[in-house]
Amino acid sequence: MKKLLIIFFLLYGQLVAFDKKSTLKIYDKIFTSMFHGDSAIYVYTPNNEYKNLFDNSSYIKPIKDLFKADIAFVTTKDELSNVLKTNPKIAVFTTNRHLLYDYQAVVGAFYWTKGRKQLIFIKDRLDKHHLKLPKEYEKYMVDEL
Amino acid sequence: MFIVFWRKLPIMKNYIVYIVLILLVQSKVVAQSSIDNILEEYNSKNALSKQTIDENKGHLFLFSRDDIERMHATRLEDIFKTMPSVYYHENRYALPDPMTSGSFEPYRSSYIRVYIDGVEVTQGWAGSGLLMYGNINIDFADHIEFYYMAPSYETSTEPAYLTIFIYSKETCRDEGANINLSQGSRGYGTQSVNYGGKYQDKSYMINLSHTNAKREKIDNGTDTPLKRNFEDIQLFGYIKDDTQSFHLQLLKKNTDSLAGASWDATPLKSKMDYLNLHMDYSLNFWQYYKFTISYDYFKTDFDQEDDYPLMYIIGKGHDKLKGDATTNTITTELSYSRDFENNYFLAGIKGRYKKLSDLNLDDEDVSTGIFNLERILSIFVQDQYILTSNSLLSFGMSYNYIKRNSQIPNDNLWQMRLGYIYSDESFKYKTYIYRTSFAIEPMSRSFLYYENDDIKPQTTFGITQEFGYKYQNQKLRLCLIYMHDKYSLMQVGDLSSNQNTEYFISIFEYNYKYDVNNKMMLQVEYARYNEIYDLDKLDDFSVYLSLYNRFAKLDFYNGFVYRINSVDWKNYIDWTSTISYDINENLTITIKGDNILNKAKKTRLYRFDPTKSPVSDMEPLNISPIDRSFSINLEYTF
Repeated sequence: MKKLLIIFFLLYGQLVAFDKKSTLKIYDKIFTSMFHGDSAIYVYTPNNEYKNLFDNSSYIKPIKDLFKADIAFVTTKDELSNVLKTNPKIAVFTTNRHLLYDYQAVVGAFYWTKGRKQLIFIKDRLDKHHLKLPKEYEKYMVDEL
Repeated sequence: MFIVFWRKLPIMKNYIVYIVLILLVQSKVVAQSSIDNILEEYNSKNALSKQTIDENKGHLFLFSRDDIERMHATRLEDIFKTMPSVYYHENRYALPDPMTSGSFEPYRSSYIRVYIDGVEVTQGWAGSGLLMYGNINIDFADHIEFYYMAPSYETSTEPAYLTIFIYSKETCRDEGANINLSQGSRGYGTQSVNYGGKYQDKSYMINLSHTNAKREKIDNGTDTPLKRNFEDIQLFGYIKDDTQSFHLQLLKKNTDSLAGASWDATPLKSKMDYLNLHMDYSLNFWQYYKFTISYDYFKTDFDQEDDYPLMYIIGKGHDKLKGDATTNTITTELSYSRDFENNYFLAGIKGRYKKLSDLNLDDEDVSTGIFNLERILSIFVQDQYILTSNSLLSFGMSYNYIKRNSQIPNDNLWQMRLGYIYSDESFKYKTYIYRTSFAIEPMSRSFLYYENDDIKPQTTFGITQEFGYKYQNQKLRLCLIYMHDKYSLMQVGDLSSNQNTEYFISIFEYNYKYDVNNKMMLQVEYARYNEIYDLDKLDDFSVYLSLYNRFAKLDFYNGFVYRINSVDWKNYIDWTSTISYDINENLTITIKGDNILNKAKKTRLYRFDPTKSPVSDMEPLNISPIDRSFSINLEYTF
């Protein structure tokens, strides 16, 4: 069946906006690295598409209570504004480069630029939230923007 | 054949030293941690090209966004020059014409078709949009797909040898603004700005670029060398949602047209200016239907003068030609596509209306009562049947009816294509058998005075095969192409002589990905052509080696294109090199060298001496379409 799907993919092309398996894999990696522990990582996201994606994760648990969440995940300015209105102290991760530049609450971003996804974390902001990333992330960290 | 290459090898030693040095740098592989690998896997699986590639369109040569960015390719010619078999050539008017024979034909590459976001751009009378789009600024492009051989009928309105699909950047991946500034040798300068955004459920993008191309002059043995400078302004924009899309492209180009219409390539004046407008609208409806309408406007202003009669004896004087020509082309298409169990069925109808609306020579309208209208009706059906879980059979048939005015004979053309694709995790095989018919395009019919002749359509029979194998981070591919043209249009001189042309093209490709940041690609091509242009046979051999390296904030690209053919057995090598440095997250500086060794492949430009009676051959000029140039580029994203 998998092989059949590969052929369909070659033929029909424009069926999917992004590859869910590799997307989930990278968020699993990012969030487990940020929170180290073996237990589940509670992520609050107002975005249904990502909520559905995280539902399939063995590591990430989508949660509705923003105060019980380890981190908030947003994609737009409106989503971020609503999150910060409810809980201004929460660490935020985003897919929007502009939010990373404009909001101190955003500790990191995974966004498109020049046709490639870029991963970036702000060291000072991670420190403020007592978050520490392994050494392998060094090249994805900057002191400030 | 290979003995000749071997003998030529010592000449190549200097170049091989460069390549070996760069390969040494390439081999300095830095061990990558897992986040790097996961990120790379993500980028690879989510490249926009993964959503547009259609293996059934033919034999694919892909330039991904990553390739284009790292090559720092700014114009389509930067990509085109690496293509096996065709290369990038310019004709005697300094226009992109990869299939030019170097002789006196007005345009040769009519059967290379250009598509932007799936819709063909055309200049109507010349047959192909390549005339203008062959060296456009590609700052708006995400990735480019080249498909060799007869394409699937899903895309083509008229037959083609090679189809080029340029896909624009998507707003969801390129939201915001991007500015590119470049300054290079001889004062060559380019400015480009790109902006993409979203409004409610619609996404839009606009790209505006300006190029002032100061190019190398060509010595023609007189005190006035040939010039091919150009200045162009290009606007590209789209707005689209899930079911509809609208594209607008505007291209204005003022050029020095090299030898122009001068027999001996010594024009007193040679200028051509172009204005092209393209608009298209697409609508998906009732789940299975798609409607597309596109409009192309193309105006040429020409000003040619020589001290002897020009090639085209029209207008008031034989040694002067000043005027303008305007072509309008409208194309509509309605298609139906649906999958039934193991079948993916497609059917459609297309219509194209091409009119040479205005032709003014020396302020006199001469467009009435001449051959100036072509109407093309195409009907096609295609089915792709899944034989097993990893193999597929495709069959397509198309009928084209071309109706012309002014008592020019009409054409009934039939196209057929049978294909088989096998694909599993590591192995891929494709084969096509097809029969295609090509009619001579209107511009050549008019300019070569075939209006009163019954030029038979060229009938091409082709068999192609492709073998692909992937093992870990290595990929191998072999393409074998055989074509036989009956009543070949690939001839110089009398097209009614009913010559046959044969092509055998073999392309071997090897890709090796050292790690996330470092990769190489080697492509080797050998082709044999029989009875092409005025040659009994032509052997062509080429190698393209590309090396991509990244170290911290530095990015390197080195591309070597080596070519040799039996016309003169001369070695040509085109070395392109770029070094980029990311100053910060938003700003990148790049230094680029094109044709660094000044040994890039040259195009022959044939000449006649009009002062002799009978007219005699002169030594042809050898002109490289790729200038030796160095440039510095700044890219700012915000």
